[in-house]
Amino acid sequence: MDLVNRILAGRDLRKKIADSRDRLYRVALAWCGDPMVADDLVQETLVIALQRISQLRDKQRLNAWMYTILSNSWKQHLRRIRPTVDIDEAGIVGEGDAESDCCEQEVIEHVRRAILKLPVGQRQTLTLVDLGGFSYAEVAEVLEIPIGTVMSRLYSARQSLQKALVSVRATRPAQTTYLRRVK
Amino acid sequence: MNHSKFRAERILHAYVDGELGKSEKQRMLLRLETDERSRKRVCDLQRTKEWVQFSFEGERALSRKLPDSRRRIWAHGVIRVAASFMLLALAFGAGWIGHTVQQPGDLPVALESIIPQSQHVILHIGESDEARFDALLKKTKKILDEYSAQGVQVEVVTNAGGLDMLRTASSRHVNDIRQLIKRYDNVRFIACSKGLQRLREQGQDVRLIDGVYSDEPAADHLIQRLTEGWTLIKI
Repeated sequence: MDLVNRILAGRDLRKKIADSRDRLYRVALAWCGDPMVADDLVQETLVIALQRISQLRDKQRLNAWMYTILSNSWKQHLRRIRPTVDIDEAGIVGEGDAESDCCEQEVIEHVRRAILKLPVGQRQTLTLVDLGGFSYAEVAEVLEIPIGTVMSRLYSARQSLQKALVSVRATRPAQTTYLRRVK
Repeated sequence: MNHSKFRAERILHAYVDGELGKSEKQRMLLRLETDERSRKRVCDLQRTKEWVQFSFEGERALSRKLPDSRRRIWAHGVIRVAASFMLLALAFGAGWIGHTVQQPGDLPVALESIIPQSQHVILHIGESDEARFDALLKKTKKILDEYSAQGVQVEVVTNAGGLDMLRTASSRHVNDIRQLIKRYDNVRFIACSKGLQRLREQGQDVRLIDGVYSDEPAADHLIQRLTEGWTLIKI
């Protein structure tokens, strides 16, 4: 019976790993901005997670564990393409890329660009909280940083994003909605 | 921003992120009732958070079909599980697991996960190395010879440099592989479609040995098989 339970538990874990693909992809896409790279990072994460599933002692940590793998894969990718860049390097945010005609898709692109311009550490922290739905403590664990650093990075990241959104608002004419009678 | 303002700001972030405990949240709610500036700040933070979420809403990983695990739960019976243990025990006996000697005829194998219910094996190679190709084929044949009667399935998955083993233009093992495919129904040789595409773009000859599959990227296939509980042996 114990063997059967172990088998079922193992299968359940593997299914959870496979089911997390899209959530991992969204975070990976926010980190790298390239769908193909994001896809490769997620693939790598899933393969490693499925291979090393037996090493996961606390099954409740599955989600955080997978994002740790994703984060490590991302770091390796960064080292390959930019070996000298520090993860906390200063970023340039919101340099007035906003288009004058801001439709919804353009605002989305603007937000994405602003996220990509954040320093890597801020970008990871922000997206793990906002897209991954992780608590501060979990983010600290995934990224192996103190919780205070999580909070400061989050603060800085949102400040930068808000500046970027202000620039969108500044270039977008206010829309007035009129009520009209319908007979 | 001075220290106390910075602290107040971080508490607002924590409120928006659902990080406050009951009493802190109560204090915050009372503060929001009376403090117009805090209300506006929370509204800004919430909106920023929602923009981040909305900007990636609906994004899905590039289409990849994962198998339905519910069906597989009942597909493996006790006999198959027992067979898996036998195979793994024999694998230990054959010296695959944890084996690190690198010489022709032996496999440098890092078997990082042993999944008890696995009775099927993937041998994965991603490097162009003749000694490893030789050893891989030797071991593949050994598994097929000794365990086919127990229902074992074997797949040899290649990508990157490993594709050289399955391309007619580069392989020194064309006849060996053809013979294995002809002789055994339970073996499949698989070439990564993504890797082949890259080689094609470089103008290389990507014709494969007859009977080799190349329907999907190797990573997709590995994920699918690992999800199904196959044992991966990385060469």
